[in-house]
Amino acid sequence: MADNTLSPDDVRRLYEQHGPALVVYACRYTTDVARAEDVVHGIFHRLLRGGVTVPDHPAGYLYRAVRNAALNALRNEARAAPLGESCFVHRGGNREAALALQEALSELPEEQSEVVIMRIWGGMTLNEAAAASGVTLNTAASRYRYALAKLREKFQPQGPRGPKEKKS
Amino acid sequence: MSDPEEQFEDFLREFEAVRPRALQQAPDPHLYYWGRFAAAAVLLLSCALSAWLVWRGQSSGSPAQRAALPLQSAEQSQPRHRSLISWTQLALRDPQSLDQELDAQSRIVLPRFNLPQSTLRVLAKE
Repeated sequence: MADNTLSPDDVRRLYEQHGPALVVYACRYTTDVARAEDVVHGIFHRLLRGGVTVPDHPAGYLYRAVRNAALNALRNEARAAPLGESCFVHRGGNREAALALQEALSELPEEQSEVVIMRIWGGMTLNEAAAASGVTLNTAASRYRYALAKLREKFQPQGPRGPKEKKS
Repeated sequence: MSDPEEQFEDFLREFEAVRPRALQQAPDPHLYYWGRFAAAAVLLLSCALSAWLVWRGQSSGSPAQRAALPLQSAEQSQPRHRSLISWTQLALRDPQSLDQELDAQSRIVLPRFNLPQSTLRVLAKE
């Protein structure tokens, strides 16, 4: 796999394309939207400064970099911030559902939540998600199905206001 | 992919990821290093200038002048400031010394009345 450096325009394009999904991904570790944003910004600022070589699949690099930076940020925190603000906005305005979705995503195994975030909010195909994660298409697809099944256990679309948490 | 899965995907897409704030321009690292270099250069120049000024001050003038300078400076830079009480005591104890002392002080801090060019000479006459 060849490495290359990115121009500022490339970096900005990647930010537009992957920024929101990366914030969701960082929220999985930080549980705080502002800190997740800071983590993502830190990664892109480093890219903007130049001198960083990224592989042919920059999305994979970005997710790895965000994960590492978010874990570092989490380690440096005295304690985890309470989950007060979601990194999702529900179109119907259901804030509780948005918070519950974030919590459910954080309960998924890491590799499963990653592929869901890449596919649903990163707009990537399963092929692209597999390449970014460095796994085969079959592996990515099975992770994705498992993740959706687990999320469906938590959520059921009900009516115009969106989901409700399934009572166990 | 089955229909329920697609429906659930659509449902999940009802949740939009929060758009992060715009990416700010990162500071130019070259500018950063040039700034530090410039600050170091200014510091170095100011040190060199100070050292040069000190050296120049020490080396200016003839040896005789330089030899006389410390004595003159010592005389001028150490005026004997007396308090009002000590002036009074001196006047009572030794009026002649008081006159001498006042004369010495007048060369440093007080206008002299007894010089031909003094503008205060008129007052001295009165």
